Amino acid sequence: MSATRPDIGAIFDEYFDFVWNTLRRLGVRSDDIEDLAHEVFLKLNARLSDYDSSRPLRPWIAGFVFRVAADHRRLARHRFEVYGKTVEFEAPAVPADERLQVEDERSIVREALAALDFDRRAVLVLHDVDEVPVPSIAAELGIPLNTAYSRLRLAREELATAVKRLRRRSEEVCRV
Amino acid sequence: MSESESNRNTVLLDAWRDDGMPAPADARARVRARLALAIPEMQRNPSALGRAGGAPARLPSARGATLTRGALTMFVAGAVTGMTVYATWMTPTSRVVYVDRPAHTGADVAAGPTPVASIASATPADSRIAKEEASLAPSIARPLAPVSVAHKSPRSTSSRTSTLDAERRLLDDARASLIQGNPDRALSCLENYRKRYPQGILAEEADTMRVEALAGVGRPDDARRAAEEFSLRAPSIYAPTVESAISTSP
Repeated sequence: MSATRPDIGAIFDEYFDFVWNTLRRLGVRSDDIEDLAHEVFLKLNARLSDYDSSRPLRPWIAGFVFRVAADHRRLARHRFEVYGKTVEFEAPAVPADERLQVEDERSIVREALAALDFDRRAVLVLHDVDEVPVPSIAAELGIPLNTAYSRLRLAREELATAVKRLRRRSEEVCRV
Repeated sequence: MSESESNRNTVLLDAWRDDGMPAPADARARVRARLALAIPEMQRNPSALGRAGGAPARLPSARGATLTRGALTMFVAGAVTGMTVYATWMTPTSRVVYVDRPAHTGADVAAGPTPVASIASATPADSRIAKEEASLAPSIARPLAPVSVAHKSPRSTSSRTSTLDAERRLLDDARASLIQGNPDRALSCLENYRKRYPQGILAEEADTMRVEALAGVGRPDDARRAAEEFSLRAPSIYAPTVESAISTSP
């Protein structure tokens, strides 16, 4: 347990971009990211005294981001906007022939990730994109280490399948 | 998955990692301003001042105190202005309604319908107003009764919606207290909820927050007992949240 409480202002400055991008990569709608980022830092602040300074900060924060995104996702399933459109997680679908090459690749990854199971996607994003070690992910998400590795393996396989499918579709669209 | 495919996906993920851009500066400023209202350290701490772009604020030591005061004043003024602009521009055009569940009795109806015009907000201040409105509900409901009772059952859609919104406001108040690190107040809101809606539509969510609040106020045994009761009732989507609250409880 930390003897001195970490500085929430410094944490905000250092990790706001990380929180923002991780929420986005976990599939949170653009319109909701700001509110959820706010909630992440409020929860972080409420739990700062529990932070163990011998542990790296990034995975600890990633755990908050995951839980806030997961709670939001669960609530989103149980509500709808009366005058607006149904709340959905983002799954961009831009026509392939309108994309530039680099953006095309990114779009394919985004779409492929959006198709993954949320829990698996979280492990993949935190490990393969944000480079958080798997044991830290397991500890912060409160799951057994083997489960974390299993989710990572399955997520990579599903990602490969989804990417292959999207590439095929993209090539078919280009041929037409 | 072949090795070449795996490598190609790694390259793709690298491309996507590079896609991670700094968060929009205006969003960062808005979130900071909102946090500053709830977290005093975000106002006092020099690291929280003047670092919108992520660069450390370096103030000359001789003029540090004056500049700090000036920066603090500017920050507070900016926060107030930002909140005002945010509130003006971001006026919600829609409101969130929870999907209700069938199983509950007429006990919650006794609280009476709440005027629909006042149900869109979730702030603590509005919740206090909501409580006052709720206490006036019977007298407000009386003149309306012939209209609603004549055409609809007590479980009619409008009645259910009003009850649901009244419940939601109480729980929003509790949730805001929890997020702001005030589990005592959250607990008191939840007790109030339980008294008023013993068979509430949102009882499951209330019970979840109660476990979190009990863990938050340092009553781990009570939290565990509440979690056990919760888990015995029925499978719930809130089970992971309850487990998380218990596991982080000392």
